[in-house]
Amino acid sequence: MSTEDAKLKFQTRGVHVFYGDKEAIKGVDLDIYNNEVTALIGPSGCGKSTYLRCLNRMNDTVDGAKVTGSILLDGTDIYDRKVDVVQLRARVGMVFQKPNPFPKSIFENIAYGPRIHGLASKKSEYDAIVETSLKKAGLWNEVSDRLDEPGTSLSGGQQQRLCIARAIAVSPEVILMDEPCSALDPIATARVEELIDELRENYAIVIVTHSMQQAARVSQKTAFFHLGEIVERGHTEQIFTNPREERTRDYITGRFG
Amino acid sequence: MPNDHIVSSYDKELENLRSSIARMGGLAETQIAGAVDALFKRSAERAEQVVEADKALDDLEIAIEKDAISILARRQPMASDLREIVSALKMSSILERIGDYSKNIAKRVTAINESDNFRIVRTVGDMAHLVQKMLKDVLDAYIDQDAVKAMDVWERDAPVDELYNSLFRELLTYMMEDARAITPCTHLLFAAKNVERMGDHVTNLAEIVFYLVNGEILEDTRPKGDRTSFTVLRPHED
Amino acid sequence: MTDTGQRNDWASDEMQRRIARRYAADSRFKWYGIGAILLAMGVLVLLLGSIIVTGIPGFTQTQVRLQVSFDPEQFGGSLKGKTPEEVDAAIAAADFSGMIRTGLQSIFPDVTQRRDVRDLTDLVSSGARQKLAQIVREDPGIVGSTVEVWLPTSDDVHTIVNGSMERDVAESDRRLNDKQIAWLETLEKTDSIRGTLSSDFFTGGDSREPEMAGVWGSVVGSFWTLLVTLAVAFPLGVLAAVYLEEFAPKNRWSDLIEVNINNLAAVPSIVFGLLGLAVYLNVMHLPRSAPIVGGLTLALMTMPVIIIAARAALKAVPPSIRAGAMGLGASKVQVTFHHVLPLAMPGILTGVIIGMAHALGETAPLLMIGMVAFIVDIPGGISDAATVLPVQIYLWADSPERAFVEKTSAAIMVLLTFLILMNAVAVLLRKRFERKW
Repeated sequence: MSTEDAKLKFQTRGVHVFYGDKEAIKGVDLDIYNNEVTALIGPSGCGKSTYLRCLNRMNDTVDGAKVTGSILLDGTDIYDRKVDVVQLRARVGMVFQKPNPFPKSIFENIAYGPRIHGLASKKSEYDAIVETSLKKAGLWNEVSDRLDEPGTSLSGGQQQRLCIARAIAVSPEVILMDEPCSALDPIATARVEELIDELRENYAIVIVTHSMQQAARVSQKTAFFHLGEIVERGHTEQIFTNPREERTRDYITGRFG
Repeated sequence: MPNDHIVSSYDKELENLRSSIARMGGLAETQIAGAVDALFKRSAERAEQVVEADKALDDLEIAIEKDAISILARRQPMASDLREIVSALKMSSILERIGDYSKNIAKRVTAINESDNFRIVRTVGDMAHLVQKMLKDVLDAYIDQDAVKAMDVWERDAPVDELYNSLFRELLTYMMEDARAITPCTHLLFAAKNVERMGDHVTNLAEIVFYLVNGEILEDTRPKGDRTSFTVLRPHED
Repeated sequence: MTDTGQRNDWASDEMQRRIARRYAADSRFKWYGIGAILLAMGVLVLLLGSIIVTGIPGFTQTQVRLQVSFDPEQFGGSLKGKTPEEVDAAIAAADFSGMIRTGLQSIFPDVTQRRDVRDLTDLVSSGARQKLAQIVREDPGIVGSTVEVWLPTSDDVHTIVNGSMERDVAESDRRLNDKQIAWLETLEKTDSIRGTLSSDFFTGGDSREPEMAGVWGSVVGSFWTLLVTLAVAFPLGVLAAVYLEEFAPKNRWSDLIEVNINNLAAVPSIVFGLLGLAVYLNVMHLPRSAPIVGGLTLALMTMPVIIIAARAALKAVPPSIRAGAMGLGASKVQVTFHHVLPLAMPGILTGVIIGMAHALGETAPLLMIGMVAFIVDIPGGISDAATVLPVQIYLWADSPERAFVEKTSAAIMVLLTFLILMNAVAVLLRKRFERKW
């Protein structure tokens, strides 16, 4: 148990999210550990993406959104007044549903994060960051000779890995992924999944996915969201072979309704 | 299953699979009864019928395997559905084995019939009756998704083993007494062994049903009654 | 799974009739559309055609060839070696009309009666004197010699020569009398009359004489005015749009502001003129008739247009770009100025150019702030009195001389050329930077 505690990255307790009068998340308790992929599954509108966006305070940007409860990152409440949201987002990177490279060169896409956080000063340092990030994202071999080309000229799967590389470039501790493969074909999806599995070694990863097969493939822990609550959480293997809750079983076997 | 799948054809396919297993189970039961019947009635004709009927079990097994693989490939089943399909695959192959044992018993009927005055030991029939009942119960447990009933069947293999132990000694004694009885006794011993094996397989079925219903693999060791592997009988040294 | 089991009889007569009716309705609608387009295009062609046909002569000037002798007596002796000031003084004192009269009389020696002489000199534009003055100013050494020069004719000659006035109507119905027509024909026979592209039209300011009037003054006026408009409306409009779109909280106040901006864009332009008159002239006492006031007034009018266009362009930047930058820890300002604004810029510029084109064509508010004055000089800055192209058109359209009709059309063509150029740039920008997300 103590090794588990040491790996604890995010501890969230009683998280509620309100959009105006609407309560999108109704008290979620969830722990997220280092070197693990935690998958959040559930039907559309169940609050899994909303919860994900609490972890790097992306909900701040939504008008009328209010988050209550405690979200501790390494024991510090990220909604504390003293926490700088810019720094938080550098520590907790995010990859989005649709690949969204900036319409700039591949190099600039990666160098942008380090630049705004002042992580490098010389050209050679940026070169190094860009190369390591692209290598970690498994994209280096494909793009090393065309770093000046726009990021938008890559294929969808490459774009998504570019976005992952972009997130890695600021050396985050946690990577949040919001349905990262929903716009990709199966081959590109497999590449991204392989990448996620490799990244697990160094990061805590939280992935929201609509594909239960994907959650089953890439994650170690799975949490099932329904109507703004966590119905069941546990080891992925257990959730997918022998869910304890009827709602979970009905959802993952395609019986919902 | 309390809820239906959103895709109704999925439900239909699973239902087909279940009913195929039930049909196989029913056939396997009939085969046991038929084989023992042929044995006691010394009817070569009846035995021939049992051998013929085994084909139906083989065909059903193949059909179930095909259906199961098709569902796996197309539906990516999860949780209870996944267990359902894996169970069906395993159960069908076990039921096919049970059918094979029945066929094997039936095939021995001709050889045993060569010895006119050899009396079939009743114990074989008792064993077969017990196994047949176990099989019926485990199939009921399967259809009713009843883990308790499956556990009950699981624990009922011990009496079969006990019967087999005593039969083993009895037949060894006969063979020592009368060398002419060796041929029919050996065949009968094999037949009895087949029945005993069927009993073991039925407990496997019970374990599968338990897993199917509870999602957990039964890891306790089953009470074992078959001690014949260690049985040594020495001729009287008067 | 709702098979009624009943097949539709697609081949039945009723079905066939339905289909035929549908096709008929389709093609009828198509022809209505084509008809509307044709009608609109016809009207447009008619309009443009009439402007072009009337306007083409406006670009030309009719000139008469004269032998002019620059008599040194007129200039107080030779101008060789004189300072420019002395040359200017000499030119101011010289009687160029007399030189022109002498030149004409050398062609028509038998015209001696005072009245006839006046009619004869009326053939030549009164602006011809400035032409001669200019010749001397450029080359003072010419004094003492006799040179052959082409001088602009009066507008009446111009309209007769280019055919926009009939010459064989009753004498009382035309501006030239029979004698003048006869002299003109004599001149034509000796190839002493020519039509040429009018440099005065392109380089000159306004004038009471149509043949001397040019658009350059108003073009420069328009330039200064639009410069002021751009300098004020572009930064203010874009910043307002950025704030409203990216930073302002969405609440009742921002809704109110949005509604007001949209309404402002629909306010009649004359109202802005009144506002300019009241604020800039009466309160702030800025110079009347000056591009600075005109520009500020037009900026008021253009700003809502720019704000609306800029907001639309900002809205068109996909939110995923904002989210991506924000997810990396970029602040709101960094997201806006590193990503959103550069991406929206082509769209914003398109809106700005269209707004500017709109301002270029605007007359009403400028009438209110006095930019409707008759201004001969080319404005040299934003505080000089100036007029703008559309106002110039309005002024000329109001002038009684026949020759101003063609000047009006010619100026309209100049204005349209600028508008088309600006719109072309906008289209080009849009095409060049159009982005597929």
